[in-house]
Amino acid sequence: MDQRSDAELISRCLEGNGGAWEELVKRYKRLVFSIPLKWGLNRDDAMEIFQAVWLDCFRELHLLRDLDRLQAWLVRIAVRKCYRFSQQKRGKPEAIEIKETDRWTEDPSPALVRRLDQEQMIRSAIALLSPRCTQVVQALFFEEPFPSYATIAARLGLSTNSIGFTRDRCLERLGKLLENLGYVH
Amino acid sequence: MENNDHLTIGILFESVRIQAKLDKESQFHLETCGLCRDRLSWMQTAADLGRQEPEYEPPPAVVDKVLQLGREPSALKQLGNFIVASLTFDSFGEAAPEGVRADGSARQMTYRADDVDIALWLRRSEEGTMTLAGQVTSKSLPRMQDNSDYVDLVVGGDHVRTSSFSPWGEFLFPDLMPSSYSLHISLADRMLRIPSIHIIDDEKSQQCSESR
Repeated sequence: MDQRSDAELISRCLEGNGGAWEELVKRYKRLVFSIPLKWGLNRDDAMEIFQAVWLDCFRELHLLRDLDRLQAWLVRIAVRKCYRFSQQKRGKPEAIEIKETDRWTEDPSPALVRRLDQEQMIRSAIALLSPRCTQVVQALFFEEPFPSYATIAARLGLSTNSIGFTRDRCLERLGKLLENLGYVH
Repeated sequence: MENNDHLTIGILFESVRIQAKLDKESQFHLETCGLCRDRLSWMQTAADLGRQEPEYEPPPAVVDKVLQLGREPSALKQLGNFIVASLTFDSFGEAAPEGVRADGSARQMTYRADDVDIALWLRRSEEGTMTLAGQVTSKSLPRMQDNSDYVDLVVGGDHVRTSSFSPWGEFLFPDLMPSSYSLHISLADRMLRIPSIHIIDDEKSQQCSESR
């Protein structure tokens, strides 16, 4: 399954295509929402940051169309907003490192950026899997509690004996996709 | 185990899933095998993400508010009509022409984009912070009556403040700290941008500079 690039989606937005905007938001909504939560803000504050980041993104679309990676821009803006928000309410959590270049140009730490990158790559790679492998990987990593292999096999209409092979094949594919996306340990 | 005899992806997955230590032989292999380490790493990240991902899902009502931005034809039309304003006068850069006041205490600049004129004043307060005041005038927009019009103060893409307009097109940003700003002016059918106003922390350097 191919994904349209960020640049392509931004161009479509600027042509008045609301569907492209929807695709962009759905692609990065969890990344953006995760940043204030990682920062230590509560969900209400995180919702405020989330909306503010996307509003800025919408208003900056004409400047973002030539950007290679919208993701990095979203992370930077979200971190800045978290920082300013925290400055107004309370101090930043100790776990978060920021590089303070001046009062309004805080940049996220390389460690935070790398972690967010890795997480987003996993989301992106899963989105590129076949529907069957998506189902397997979702069950393996995202279900709580972990479903039994018999349950996963039953959902897929497979025998319990063959689920191990299917699991390995889907994990191999996911690993390959991550490699292609440039996942770095 | 030979070094090229990799751990199966199933074994690696199970070690992540049940958070169990690999046996000694596998541990030794892992220490010398980049491929297996990489696999273990991304599976660990995926497992960690899997535990947190439900929390990272924003509430649907909030997502819908954001999606609504792209469902407004006027907003999309405005995005497509983006104009960079040009500097037409700078009181620190040239003698003031007739009709433009320059008393030395404030820097005045004017910009033009299409038929819209934008006047800016930068003043230093007693506390040392800067105030940016402005006025937008246009023959086609005799009065600012649309409440959806606004001016955003932007730092590196981050819209740090928003000002509404007075009925006469005036806007105000008090207490500015040194930084590199741009202004985004949203009018009914277009978006105007003044790309770069640097406020620097040096009284001797005349309060601000403008990148052209």
